Amino acid sequence: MVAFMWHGKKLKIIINQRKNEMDELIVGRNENRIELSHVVLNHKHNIKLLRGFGVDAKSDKRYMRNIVIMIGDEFATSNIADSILLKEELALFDRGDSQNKYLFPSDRMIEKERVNSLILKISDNSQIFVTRSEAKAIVTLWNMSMQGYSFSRLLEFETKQTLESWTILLEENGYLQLENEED
Amino acid sequence: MYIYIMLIFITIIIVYFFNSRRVEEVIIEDEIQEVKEQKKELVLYFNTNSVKFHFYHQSTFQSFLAVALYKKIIVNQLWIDEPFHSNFVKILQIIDQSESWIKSKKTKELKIKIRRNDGNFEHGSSFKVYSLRDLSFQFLSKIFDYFLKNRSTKIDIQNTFLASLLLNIRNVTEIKHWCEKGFTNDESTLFLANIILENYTYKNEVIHILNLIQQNHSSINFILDIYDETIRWQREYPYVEKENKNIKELEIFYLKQEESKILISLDTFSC
Repeated sequence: MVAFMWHGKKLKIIINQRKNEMDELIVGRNENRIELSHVVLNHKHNIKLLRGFGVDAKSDKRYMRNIVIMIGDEFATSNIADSILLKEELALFDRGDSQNKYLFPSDRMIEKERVNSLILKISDNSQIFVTRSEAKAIVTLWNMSMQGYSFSRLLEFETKQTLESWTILLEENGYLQLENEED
Repeated sequence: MYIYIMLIFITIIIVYFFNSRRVEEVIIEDEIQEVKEQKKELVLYFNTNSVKFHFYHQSTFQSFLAVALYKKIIVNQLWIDEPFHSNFVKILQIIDQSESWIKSKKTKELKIKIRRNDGNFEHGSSFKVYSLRDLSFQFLSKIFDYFLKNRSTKIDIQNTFLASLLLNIRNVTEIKHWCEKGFTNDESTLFLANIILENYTYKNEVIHILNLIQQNHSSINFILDIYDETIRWQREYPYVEKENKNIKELEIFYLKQEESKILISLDTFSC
């Protein structure tokens, strides 16, 4: 009886070791796994900055690989180049032209006072007015959020996404869910 | 002295053995007499699962849920009466071959944009979705479980099964070209039910049930409660709605007809 028990324990130890090895192999194959997180740049107009992080399987370190700007429930930009263009148009407030792509300077009257502001158009045919102070705050928040992450990995290894892959990522990270669930 | 004792023991043993054998002989004789007096009972082994009926083959359905419902409702109960059998299978095939969806109420709709290589943009909207196939099949199985406890006539049960499958038939995108334009949601369900149930004798009663469901009548509360319960526990899938849609259209003559029934036994359905 003693001999049979000893053989049984040895087999259990071997099986547990093999199981841990298989779990590591399966995790390591999925190298392009991306997690989404957002930073709110403006609460009034609901402007968000979505960032996609890729995880290295060996070093367990996070690298930024996608940048997207969301206004409300809509994607304004889907690239790094387009989103940096929007940021620079905010920085050049009045010195921009009608050649801008996203934001156009204009004048308007508020309580008998002439004021300069930027106009941003949404697909619902509605307009947003961005003031001078809001634009400067958005740019500083942008710079604060990029601290600590490498630019080389971001600019060279940007992941290409399609419409279907964006929906899968948004659903996994909980962006398609209502905040107040009503049963 | 001792010899007398030994002789006594021996005689006791011999007498015991002779008495025991005599009892066995008596028992055997009694058993033989009883067997002759008993009547001979015939025992026939007849396998009811090898009898053959007219069924549709499993290959008419694509998903395992449809085959399970066909076994549960028609094969186990042997409801082979003709106008119900073929109409039930017709509706199961329509829902089985459809890949359509219903938008859920717990989602947020996001609009997505991607820049193509030409320089133009590709737009789409993403949200969560229930699959119509899973919903309607689980809804029907729960109504079947309801009628196991609350008995009623066979014709009423058959009519409620057909009405429960036809509840969400206006959302099937492969059938929308059967409808004329300009109908509201309620009118389109009744119009499609009239087309699908042409050969059914109790068609007007099925349409009456659909009217009561649309008006939220109190006599049909159990159907509405079961519908809310199925939606609560349904799984949600992500979906993207693009600008250009390629809709798969379905024609009536692609569905199987009554002549395609075969003689099949219950063994092949593994019942």
